[in-house]
This record gives sequence, structure tokens and C-alpha cells, in this order.
Amino acid sequence: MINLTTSDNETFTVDKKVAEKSVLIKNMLEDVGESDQAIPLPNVTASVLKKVLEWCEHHKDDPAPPENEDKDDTRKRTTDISEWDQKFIAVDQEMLFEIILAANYLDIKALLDVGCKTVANMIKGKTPEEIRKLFNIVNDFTPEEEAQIKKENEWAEDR
Amino acid sequence: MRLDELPNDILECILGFLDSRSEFYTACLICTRICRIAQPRLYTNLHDFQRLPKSRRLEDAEVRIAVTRACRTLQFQPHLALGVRSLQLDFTEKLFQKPDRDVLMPPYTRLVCKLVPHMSGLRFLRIITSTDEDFLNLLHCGFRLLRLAIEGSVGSNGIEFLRQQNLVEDTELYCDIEAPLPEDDVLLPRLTRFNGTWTNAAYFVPNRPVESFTWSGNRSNLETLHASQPQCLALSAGPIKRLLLVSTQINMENLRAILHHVVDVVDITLFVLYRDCSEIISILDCPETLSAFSRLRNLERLSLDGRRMQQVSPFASSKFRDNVGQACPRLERVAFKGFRRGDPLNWDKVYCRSPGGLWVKIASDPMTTST
Repeated sequence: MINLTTSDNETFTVDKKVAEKSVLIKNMLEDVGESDQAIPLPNVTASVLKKVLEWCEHHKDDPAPPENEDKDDTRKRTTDISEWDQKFIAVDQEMLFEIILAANYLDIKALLDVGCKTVANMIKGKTPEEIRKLFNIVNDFTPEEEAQIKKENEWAEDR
Repeated sequence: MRLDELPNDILECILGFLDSRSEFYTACLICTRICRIAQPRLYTNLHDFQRLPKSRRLEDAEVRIAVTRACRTLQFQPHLALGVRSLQLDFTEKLFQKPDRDVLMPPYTRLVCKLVPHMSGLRFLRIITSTDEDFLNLLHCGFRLLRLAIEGSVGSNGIEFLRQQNLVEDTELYCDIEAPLPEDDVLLPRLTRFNGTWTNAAYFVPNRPVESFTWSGNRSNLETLHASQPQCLALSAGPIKRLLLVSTQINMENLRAILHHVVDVVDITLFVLYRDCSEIISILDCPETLSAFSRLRNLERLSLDGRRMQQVSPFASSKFRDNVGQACPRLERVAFKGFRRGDPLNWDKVYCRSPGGLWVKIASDPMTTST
């Protein structure tokens, strides 16, 4: 078992196998060897780490992803998400983005993909205005800039 | 935390899960920050290698329109050209002369050729050439390809381009090789996937496994076949199993030379368009040619396909069938076929050898697609 300390000073004791879903933690454990000291995770809060560990626990027996998977950008990437992951990631936007950031920091590729796919699926099929509304984004284009972007890229517009 | 406040690498990852051009287009219009990340991705794969079939003419029309319009933007945004990873370069653009609906478009190829030197990130390229000179446009570009498909003619410039690219895997060639490829060239052993039809026998790529060989020999090809590399067919690393000779220039001498080098052939089709087929039969049914046939111990199927097949007398065709059957013990099917479906002069005779050794004419031929 190993201890993880969050930015808000909460300590979690977890099975090594679960914690090692994070490449960051795995590398740290390899570097420092066995130790009773808690591993500090200054970029993750307790509420987010709890969610992340829930995901790691469920996926602890998954096979390791193949390396250099992203070499070929032309490969078609799927946005399928397993049923369990869909339920897991059905959280408010704030938490969704926090999970994505934590997965990125902790280097948990599969969890990062689940989060990013979820956001991508939220974007698909919507107009720019609908997306802005959904994510509370301000349209910071000037009318001239917007017209220019439309003109430059209109070849890709769905007609 | 909002979507547009996420770090760039995470936004990149999210946008990486969008898959259609229209989705990227939409993303470009959300806000300036997302636009800066989405726009280069819109131009990354101007040609989708995975999705386009080999038969490209009709399917690609839409792609070509889109790419032409995309290139118009790339002209004024060179930083976007840097990010292009896959592209189709079609030098046979005469088939695509219609200007775009609202703008008079510069010709596609000229435009793309101007841009290609800026595409240092290009990794996947499909080239459709009309002449070997097309490759001159590509010889001084800085990109290093991972995958290349060529349809068309490859001559000395094309070979130089292949050499420059020094590809190690996944090269596809559907082309006429028009320049000699040196046997000791380090280039060839590295190309693992040659899906080629060598229509010029003299420049047949040596030491590659080629199961199926098509030879549409014209007169000069036949001359070079005799003069320079009569053994070219034998240079295949594996046995040639299927041979399709599309030739109006077949004569007794060159046919024997060809048969001499395909000893493992299973299936031969001789496709003669405008020759007098009775003359062809006389070339085939002579002691010298039958002797060459007798060395083809695995030959199972032989087809003669020609517009003027009706010129062959029933007696002559039956005689040749019996003689070649005797020369080739494993031959089980001989077909004399007219040229065109529905042609009133259609003249099909297909024979299969029965277990007793007799030739039986079959009404419909399950082996063929032209009837």
C-alpha cells in the first residue's frame, strides 16, 4: 500500500497496483524505491483524486496501452466510451475538466482519453453558438475576424 | 475552469477526437484560442489515406474540390502548410477543369506544387502522375515521407524522388516503370509492398515476388525484351502464377521467349485485340510453341481472348486444344473467347477436360466474367 497526499492535505492510502495506473506515480516509486513517506500530489485536490482513484480501481486489471500509439495521425480515432466509463464521467463540467487535468498531470492516458472523448462528443453536432453556450465561452472574434475565418475555411463547411 | 481555459495540449487532445472536416470548421468558429488550435488540424490531412479507395476518379472529385479550396487558403497562410501531413497530388488534372462555382480557381496542380515545398511536415503522399517530369516538382522538397502511393509513370525523375525519400515501409506503386531500376540499388530492398503491374517488361523490377504479371507489350517493349533483358520475367523472386499478355505484337519468337521464363505459371490469358486470330492460332499451334508449352508443368488454364476470334475455324481451335492438352498434362481448361459481351460476333468456346481426358464443351463458363 502507498500513501498519496493531495493539495488540500488529505492523504489517501491505496493499493500499489491501483496507484501505478498513473505513470507519474509509477515512475516516482521506481525512482525512490519502497518508502513509507506519502507521495505529494500538489496539483490534485482530494475530491478529484477520489474520483481518479475510483477509475483506477475499476481499471486496475486492464492491459497496458500500446506505446507510440499516436504516431499516425491519420488513424481514425474512436469516440466510443464504455458504459461504466460513461457513468463514471457523468459529472458537472467543472469536475470533468478537473479530472482531465488530473489525468494529464498523473499521466493516466486512458482516463485522459475518456475525458477528452466526452468533451469531443459534447462538441459534435452543435453550432459554434451552441458550443459557446454549453461551455460558457465568450465569442471574442471581431465581426471581421469571424468573417475571415469563415472565408478561409469554408471549403470544410458541411453543406 | 472553462473549456477555453484548458492547456493547449489538452485542447489538442480533445480536438483530436473530432473526425470530420465540418466539426473542425465549427471548432474554428468557437473563439480565437480554440481556433488557433483547431485550424491547423483542419489542414493536417488533406487526403485521407485510410478511406479513399484505389479506384479514385469519381470518388476523389469531391476531395479535389475541397483540397483546391483549402490550398487557396494555404497560399496566404504558410504556417498552416507546414502542418499538412497527408496530401494527394494529382497531375492528371485535365480531367478536372471546371472552375469552382464562385471563383476562378488557379489550376489545382500548379497551386499545390507551389505549396508543396512549404509542407515540411508532409508524411503521407499519393501521387497520380501523367509523365515522369511531374516528379521534378517534388525533387527539392524538404519533407520526409512515411508512406507513398504512386499511380502512373515512374521514370528517372521518379526514381530519383524515391531515392531521396528513402522509404522504409508501406510504399505502394501502381505504375509503369519507365526507367531501369538498378539491381544493386539500396532503394528496392527497402520497399516492402510493391503492388505493381509492370507493363514494360524490360524494366521489370528484379528480385521482387510478383505472382501476377501483365504485359501490354508494344513494339518497343518487345524489342527491349529481346535486346536487353530477355530473362526479366525470371528475375521475380517468386514464381509468376498468372500471366496476362495484352499484345498485338505477339509472334512465335517472343511468345516462346516469354513462356520460357514463366515455368510455374498456372493461368495464361492471351488478349489479342485486332490481330487475325487464325494467325495467332497458327503461332500457338506450331511445334516450337507447343514445345515451350510442354515445359509449363503447372499450367491449368489457358484463354485466348480476341475481337476476331470468329476467324478461327472450329477445326483449328479443336486441333490446338488437343495439342496443347497433350503438351500440358495438368491443363484442365481451354477457352477461346470473343471480345465483347452482347457482340453479335461473340464467339465463345470453353472446354474442360473430363476425368477420362476428353475435352467437353461447357455451356457457361464459371471461370470467366465476360460472359
